[in-house]
Amino acid sequence: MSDPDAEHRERLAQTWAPRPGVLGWLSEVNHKAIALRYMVTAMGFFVLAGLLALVMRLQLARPGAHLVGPDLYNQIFTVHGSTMMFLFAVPVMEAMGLYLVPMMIGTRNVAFPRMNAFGYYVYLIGGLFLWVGLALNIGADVGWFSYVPLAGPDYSPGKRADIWAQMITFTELAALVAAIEIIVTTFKQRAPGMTLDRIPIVVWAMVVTSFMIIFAMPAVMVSSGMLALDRLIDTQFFNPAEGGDVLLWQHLFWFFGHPEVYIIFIPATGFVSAIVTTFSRRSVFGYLALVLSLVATGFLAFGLWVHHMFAVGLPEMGQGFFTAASMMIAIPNGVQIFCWLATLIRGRLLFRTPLLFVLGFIVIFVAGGLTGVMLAAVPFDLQVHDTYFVVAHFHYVLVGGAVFPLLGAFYYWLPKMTGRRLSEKLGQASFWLLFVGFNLTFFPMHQLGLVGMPRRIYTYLPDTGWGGLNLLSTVGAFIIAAAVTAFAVNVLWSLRRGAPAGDDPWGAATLEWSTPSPPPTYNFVRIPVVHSRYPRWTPLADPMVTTGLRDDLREVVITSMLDAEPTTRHLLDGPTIIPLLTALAVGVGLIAGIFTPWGFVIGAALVLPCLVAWFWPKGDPARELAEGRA
Amino acid sequence: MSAVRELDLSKLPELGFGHAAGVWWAVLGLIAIEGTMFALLAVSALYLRQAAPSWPPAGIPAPAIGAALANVIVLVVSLAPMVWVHMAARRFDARAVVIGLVIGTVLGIAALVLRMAEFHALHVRWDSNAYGSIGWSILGMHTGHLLTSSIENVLIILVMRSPHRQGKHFVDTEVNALYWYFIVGAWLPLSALVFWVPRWP
Amino acid sequence: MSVRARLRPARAGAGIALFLAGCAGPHHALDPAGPQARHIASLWWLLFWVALAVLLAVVIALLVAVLRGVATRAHSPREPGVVVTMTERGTVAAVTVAVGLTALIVLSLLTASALVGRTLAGLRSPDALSIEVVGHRWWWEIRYPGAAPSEQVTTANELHVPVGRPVKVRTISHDVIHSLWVPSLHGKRDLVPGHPGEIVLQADRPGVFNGQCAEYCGVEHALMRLLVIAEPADRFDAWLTAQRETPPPPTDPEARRGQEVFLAQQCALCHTIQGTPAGGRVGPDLTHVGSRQTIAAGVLPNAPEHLATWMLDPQSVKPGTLMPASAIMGDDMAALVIYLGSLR
Repeated sequence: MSDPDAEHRERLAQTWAPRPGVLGWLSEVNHKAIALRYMVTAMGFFVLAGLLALVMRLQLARPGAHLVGPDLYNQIFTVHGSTMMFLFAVPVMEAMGLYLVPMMIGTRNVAFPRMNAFGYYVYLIGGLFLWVGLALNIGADVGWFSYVPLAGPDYSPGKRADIWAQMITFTELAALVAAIEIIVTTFKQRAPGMTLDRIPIVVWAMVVTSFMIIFAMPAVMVSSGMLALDRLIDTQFFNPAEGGDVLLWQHLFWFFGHPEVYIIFIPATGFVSAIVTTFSRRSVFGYLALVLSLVATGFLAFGLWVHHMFAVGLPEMGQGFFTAASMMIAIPNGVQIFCWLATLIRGRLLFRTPLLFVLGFIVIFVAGGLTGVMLAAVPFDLQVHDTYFVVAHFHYVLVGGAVFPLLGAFYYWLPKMTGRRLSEKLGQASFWLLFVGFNLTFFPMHQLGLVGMPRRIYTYLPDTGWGGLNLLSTVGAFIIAAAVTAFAVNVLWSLRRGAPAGDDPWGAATLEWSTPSPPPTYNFVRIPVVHSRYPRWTPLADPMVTTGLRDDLREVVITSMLDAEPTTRHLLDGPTIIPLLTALAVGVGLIAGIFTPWGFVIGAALVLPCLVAWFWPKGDPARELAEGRA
Repeated sequence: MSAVRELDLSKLPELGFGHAAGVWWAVLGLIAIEGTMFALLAVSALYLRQAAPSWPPAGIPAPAIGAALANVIVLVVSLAPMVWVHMAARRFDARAVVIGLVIGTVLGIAALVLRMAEFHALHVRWDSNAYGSIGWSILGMHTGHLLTSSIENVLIILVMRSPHRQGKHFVDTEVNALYWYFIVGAWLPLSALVFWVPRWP
Repeated sequence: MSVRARLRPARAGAGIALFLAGCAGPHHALDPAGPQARHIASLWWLLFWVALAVLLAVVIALLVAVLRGVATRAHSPREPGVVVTMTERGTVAAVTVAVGLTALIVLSLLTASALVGRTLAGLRSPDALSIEVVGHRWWWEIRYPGAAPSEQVTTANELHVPVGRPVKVRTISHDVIHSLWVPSLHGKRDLVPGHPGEIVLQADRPGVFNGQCAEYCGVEHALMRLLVIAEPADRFDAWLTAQRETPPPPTDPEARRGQEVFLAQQCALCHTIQGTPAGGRVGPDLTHVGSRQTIAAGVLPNAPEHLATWMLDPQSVKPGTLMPASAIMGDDMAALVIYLGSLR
């Protein structure tokens, strides 16, 4: 660019540079680096869980198969579900948020860079913990929602259920950390001029999701904590013989579990809004309606949980309330769909892979949402609850509603993240493979549920007649595998051979496309001043940028929450190994904690010095000068 | 682009208290998270109670309230030095912060000692029945908060006396006070739930 | 990229074919044999057609977008994006109508669901037959009460009911959560420890209806099946009377030898046979085991060779089952099988 900026850019590059070497890699606190790690790790877990699914499908392809016995099968379906929900879906959405939000709001990093690193390491340790359990044949085997009394001390001997319960602690700690990051960064670090109604919908979606995480995760913390205590030190939370209640588990778990699926879905709706905007070459229709729908969905999601419990015999009036709420959530979801359809119909479509995935999402997610409305009807739910009909439903809404938009988002934003274009041909092939494979796998499952096939069975007898549809489903599963492989090949190929993407390969509207691809560590040479919801589509003849922020220290501007008026300058923290050490300390404590209650004491003793090191003043003269020794 | 206008940020202050500070929002988030956990424990207790033939279960006396009352008083009293610390932090008055936090720490230790008596006053073990389990869990979780906040008080005292103290540490002091308000405020309904509700028919 | 390539796959046709393929086979939810299942099936069809209509509407809207998009397509990302600032009145109206329709549909389905729920709740009667089903790992204990304790019938894995009469089933579990599900008769009811419950079943035609545990209950959840056998009232009464009788001591010498083997081995620790000292309550009551169609919770036909396999090597049938293998040899096993077969 212009010459005076060249020096400024160099100083910024120096100030925001990571430390070198392996130690530097482990000390990384840049939000993009950490987000990419989250993404790679989450996609790795996705593939692992997918392989487990292939084993299940092979086992179920014919009646009475002996590929895996019941004990291994039960570990497989538990680890498949737990991995997809806790180790893939939520983390990958958080990852996209951690990467995109600071870029879309025009700042240089998240509000608490070290805590961000800590969150990632805690997630990694928790995920590995679950899989090491499976590798050692002590994998969790009580299903991803781990009902008691089956998961309790009487019927699940050994450490399997404890491994599951503690994995929960790791992963929701990471999720809570990421949620705080996104909320605080969005509230306080938006570029000047980015008022509430100029915030990109992706960012709104991530903020709503983050609030949901804050209020939902504690429920699974409490329930898994109670389970761990019942198993470890003989508390009686779930023992009916001593005043405990089996259903307490279900209420607490599903109070988390239902919002959890919206925590996965809502970020995806953000991606859809962004992709629909760019590939319709127009502003999205109904920005306010879309934002309000996000908020409404976020609230309503907390009022549905009992629909997972319709078969346990709760009072009819209570059930009716939850039927109504579960159907009503179709309304804000519908608003979103209609706004996107309106944008697509009234826009000029640019047919590229991200748009294909959005079109696929609309078909599959709406189908899944409709079976959801069916399941909300108690009498019908009583027939298909806990059958393959439900398996079909939730894969339609989760794969359709989250994975399709996620893949679209990858095709859309990976060129920005890596600097390389992906192959459009391979992209479209991967879409069609996934669309066909997915429907072939999961559509027959609706029928299987209706004809009597329950969930979580390692085999079935020939007289049931379920063999044909199961075989069809298994064939579909391998087509899905081909689709995922095509995507992986595309990504790897693009990293080596992809054409340079340039700053803005899609001609998009929002701030992240104003940086080089991949972006420098400091994101923007000058923090922009935002004047519109679509800054790059409404360029000013005399644009405004900020000056006066220090480029020899990691300084960002803090703005007010509603109007994004600059209020203070703020120094962010730089690279340090302490988050990793703290995460390891937490890991030791939590893992020891499944063997002895003293584990928590050990953990606390290890964590305390880490936290002291984290927060102790370092005696950095430049910072002290900047922050004023008072 | 012909003319680029500039917005000069160099005159902005380098420190902000209250909602101008990121950590303030982070601690509010933490309060939301921990508050939700306490609320869920409380709701679980009420849920178990409404299904129970009696609460406490037959054969277990209602909790003694002496220690509970004393601890509520100690904790409410401890708000005073904390508010003082809060105001002192806003003035960058390190000495006042230290004095206030010393008093607060002493009161925190007193609360922890009384807490041990409170566990005893439940007249039931955590592993006897669900009533004991939930009572111990509520007390236990709150004790964890008391402990970590008291340790944090001590650490801030040490930081305030360090030559490397910076302005931002006064912001940290403010949010630490905020969290203390939460710890005390959350305890009032929880104490009532654990010690008074079992005395109702 | 040709327009044809953009058309959604003909899923509707494939769907119907798959659906018809699934219709063959044992009884299921869409083949109702009782009033409860019939009401639920009608609700299903309402939900299905409404859902199909909505999905078609969305797919059509998508096709409109795609076809229009092809006609007005942007050819490159360099074509500028447009920020629409004026209110798009027509679109607002269309979206509002769509949202209104959605709300109406939701309201109607909610009403339909509530109405069916009320109807189901009303399907009880004072002359219902009361029985108890207790879930175990991994079999079903079924108890028919009697006027006196000696008239109580305890059987396993086979639920006999009279045609045309409501049966009030009390659902109990003392170990983990199970779920009683006979799709051709009704939805399912979880058996929750600490929360005994109730479900009313009714078969309106004679037949054998299959059921299966529908809540993951451990390693052999997959093979915890049961049969509901609906018979006309007189045949049901005859069955119940026969079940109430204590089997006489066996007269056939092979059967008598079999009874001696049964009592000498560890069988009596877990199983009960009325009229003998065997009074174990851990496993199914075997008093009339010979009268049942299946063994091992609906997994094996009740035939001599299967009985022998089950007793000699239960892990080969249901890996993880709690029934221990027995070490009964050749002739003894043959005699035992004959004895058990005689317990009708």
